[in-house]
Amino acid sequence: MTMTRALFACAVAAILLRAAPAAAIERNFAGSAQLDYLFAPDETGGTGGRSVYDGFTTEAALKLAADVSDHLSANVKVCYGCHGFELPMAYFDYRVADELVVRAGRFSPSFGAFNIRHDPANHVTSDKPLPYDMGRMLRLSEWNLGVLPSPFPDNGVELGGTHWFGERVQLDYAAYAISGFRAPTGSNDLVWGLSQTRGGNMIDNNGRPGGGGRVAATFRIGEANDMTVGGSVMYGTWDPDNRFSYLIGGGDLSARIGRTQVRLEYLVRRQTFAPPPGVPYKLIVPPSGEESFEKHGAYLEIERSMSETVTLLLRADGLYRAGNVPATSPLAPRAAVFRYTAAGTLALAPGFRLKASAELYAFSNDVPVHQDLELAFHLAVVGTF
Amino acid sequence: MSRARPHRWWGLLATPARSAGVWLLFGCTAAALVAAACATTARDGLDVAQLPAEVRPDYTVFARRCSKCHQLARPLNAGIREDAMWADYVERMRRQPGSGITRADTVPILRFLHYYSHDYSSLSAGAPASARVPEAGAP
Repeated sequence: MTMTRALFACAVAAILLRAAPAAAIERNFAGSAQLDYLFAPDETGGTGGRSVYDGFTTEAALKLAADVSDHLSANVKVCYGCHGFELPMAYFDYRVADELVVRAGRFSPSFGAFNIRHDPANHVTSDKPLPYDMGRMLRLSEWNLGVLPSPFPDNGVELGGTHWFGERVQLDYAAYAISGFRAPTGSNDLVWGLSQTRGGNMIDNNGRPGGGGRVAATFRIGEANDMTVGGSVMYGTWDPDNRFSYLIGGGDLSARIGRTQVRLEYLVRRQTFAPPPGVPYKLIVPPSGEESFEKHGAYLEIERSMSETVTLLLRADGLYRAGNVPATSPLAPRAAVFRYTAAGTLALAPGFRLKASAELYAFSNDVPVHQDLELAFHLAVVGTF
Repeated sequence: MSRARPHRWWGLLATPARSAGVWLLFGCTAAALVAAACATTARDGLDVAQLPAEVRPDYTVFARRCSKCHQLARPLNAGIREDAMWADYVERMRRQPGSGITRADTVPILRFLHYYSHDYSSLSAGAPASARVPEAGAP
């Protein structure tokens, strides 16, 4: 079934490539592939099953962008990753002006600063910052990934645009309505797999769209420096009965000073749920039967291009979860994970890089004490065209 | 509620033999990395010293503006030869949120890309990208 979808996506791409004379449509075909090996010497498996994807993983992406006219463009992207084929992009952009673009189809809605760099070819480390982790973190099952695993494609429509105030300030904005994240009745967290192509039924489970928006401003300071400040929000109901909701907020600050980039981002997700009857929880469930938890995530990273050949990065990131959990969960009602990363890339050829990183994880059920320390190492090659 | 088995990073030094091969692999790779870093001449961008003087300011704008979200190799390896396609490509990038690319920036960027895809590429046809060096006095 998954292969059928992938073939269908490829067929759509082929049709777009062939459908019109070359002079009528400008097309750009691009792609990337990363092979990563994750060595987690201290991981033996968590209580919820395998707790780390140690070993080889491949992420590959093929993207076709076609400018149908001055105002209309189409994008289709097919990815292959840990969970098989995925269609993270299949949308049209209708551009009235730079200040008003209507996007419709399947896409990742505008949220946060990282998502635009989520392709492994566009960031130094093999994995993503913990708030956006999609599966390369240790103990991923216990934590149910990050605050908002990236990318987060969904079906919907987005109105957005960009406006320059002179030559120094760029304002970006977007508002969208999407299907929203999902989980079956009785869940105590979102089920990310239901939002992926492999999830099967791509129809919303509750018929009520989610929504959100983002505003960001970029300031050019001198010729070689710039700074971006942004804020994002997303809200929706996740269960079939529309009883329970999630609210995700985020703020980001990034600056480029010469060859150095500094990025800081914070996300928080507040989610309500109802513990199923008969399932014991670590804290007493209130009489209303409704619970909530908050999951915070943040990262701070400094990236420096040492030369045209070598780039180095230092990163500190973490997750903090506060809220009731089932008695069987290895997490406490207040649990945290901190991670410290040193990483680098080396250009082997133009468009082909070697990535290496070492990560120290510190898990804690007695915040903010670092209780459980674990190491992880990544070695990867990544290529683009 | 931590796991029963204590985890200490220094304990990794005494991990079972099953990890020995992987540690050896990582050690050899680290050594190879250091050696490669010293020896490689590969680069994502171009060597500005090898560019004609009149192209360097345009390349500087291109390198600065087009490396914020991705490596320079991405546009340089795009295989685009036509100015109209470059114009569409740069326009698409300019409209990306937070690109920091103004309309005024697109002029030197497109001027450089025209040079790169016509003069530079023809000078270095058949040579590996890392070895593409225009002849002295070339425009």
